[in-house]
Amino acid sequence: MIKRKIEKLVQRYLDGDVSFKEKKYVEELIRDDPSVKEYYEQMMLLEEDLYLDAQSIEGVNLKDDVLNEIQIMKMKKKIIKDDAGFFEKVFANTRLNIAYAFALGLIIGFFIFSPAIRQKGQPSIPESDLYGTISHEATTAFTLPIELPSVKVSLNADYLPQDFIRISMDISSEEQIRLRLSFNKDNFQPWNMKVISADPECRLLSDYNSVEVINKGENRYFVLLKKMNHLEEQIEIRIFSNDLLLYENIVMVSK
Amino acid sequence: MVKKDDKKIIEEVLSGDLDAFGILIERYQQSIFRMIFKMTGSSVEAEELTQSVFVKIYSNLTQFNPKYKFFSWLYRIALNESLNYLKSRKNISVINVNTSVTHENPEVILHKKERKEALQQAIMELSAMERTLIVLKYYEEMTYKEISNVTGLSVKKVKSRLFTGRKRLKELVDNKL
Repeated sequence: MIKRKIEKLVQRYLDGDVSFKEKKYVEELIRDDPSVKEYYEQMMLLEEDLYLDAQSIEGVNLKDDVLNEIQIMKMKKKIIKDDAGFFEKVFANTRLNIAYAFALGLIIGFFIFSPAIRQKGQPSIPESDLYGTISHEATTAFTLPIELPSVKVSLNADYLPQDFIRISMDISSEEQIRLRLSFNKDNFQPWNMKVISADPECRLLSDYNSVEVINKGENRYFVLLKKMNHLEEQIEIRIFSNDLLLYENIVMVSK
Repeated sequence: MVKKDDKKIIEEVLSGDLDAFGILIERYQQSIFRMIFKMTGSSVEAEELTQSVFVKIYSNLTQFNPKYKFFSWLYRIALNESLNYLKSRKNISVINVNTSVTHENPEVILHKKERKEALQQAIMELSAMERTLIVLKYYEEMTYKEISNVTGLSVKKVKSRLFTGRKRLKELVDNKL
């Protein structure tokens, strides 16, 4: 039995991983020590067997098989790519994706901020404008004083920015009356309304083609209309008392 | 004819030349097959795994870092494939023994055959790491440094584990004879 240290040295000698001094020492041991000589011969035989075994392995030629498999793989990928949905194709490129995201942002922005797309109940101007406290850029659209025996109305309309028309109505009536503003929905859309009254019976109603004030006593009303085009369009004004028509007029809104 | 550099061939493959990849297959298929065969003990499995190694290499060629040697990368992938295969198949019993016709003494032939069988069985009884080192050293004739590059072990560890691997292999062979 030889020492582990000598075994290591013999193995390194077989690998050619020894210094000149170590080489000389191992060769002396092999020559002088039979157990080392035996170990050396056994290890050399093992190495020979290993190298012989390596040489005995029959060769293979897998080139065509591998290349065929790669071709099939590429074809499959191509088919998957071709079969990929529209979005997968369109969104395949990162740079384009950024451009798409930017474009999408613009579209969404347009929908959010475009006055043309706004819906009722989403005024683009502050409510304070509706009350007439702020009148920046406001120009008068029309002024219409109405004096009837039992009804007094001061009707003022102003043009506001973004194609809005603010109509303020000061109405005084002893009995309940209805004042209706009628228009074509393609030309105007009711956007916001406000009643300044302590009387709950005083109301503002609207549909697509009209806004109606129900008033009793002295009250103030504000109506914000969105002008849907730039043509001169008419607004019809009627006042009713118990379904009896008391007043009728037409004003033209040009802007 | 001057042997084309691996890295040059890889550039050609990456630019779409599949035939260039054929050169790499021809260059390394025997080594990779031999290594996988000795790791798995089955020539059928070795053929399949060798094929899948080359397909994998092709698919991941863009990830190859030209700073390193291509064959080290290739061997590493092949080695991983072999080890994964061994993990999935715990009992290894298939041993292929190649016998060739010679005009030697029948007794010598028998003895050689016995030694060969003993060696092949013993190799399969080594641990995966021991087997890896023996295969790379004797079947692929790699240097310590090359083995270190493929296995990720330090040269010092390669040397020490190779020592224990060889020692154990010798004992296993001796016990079988």
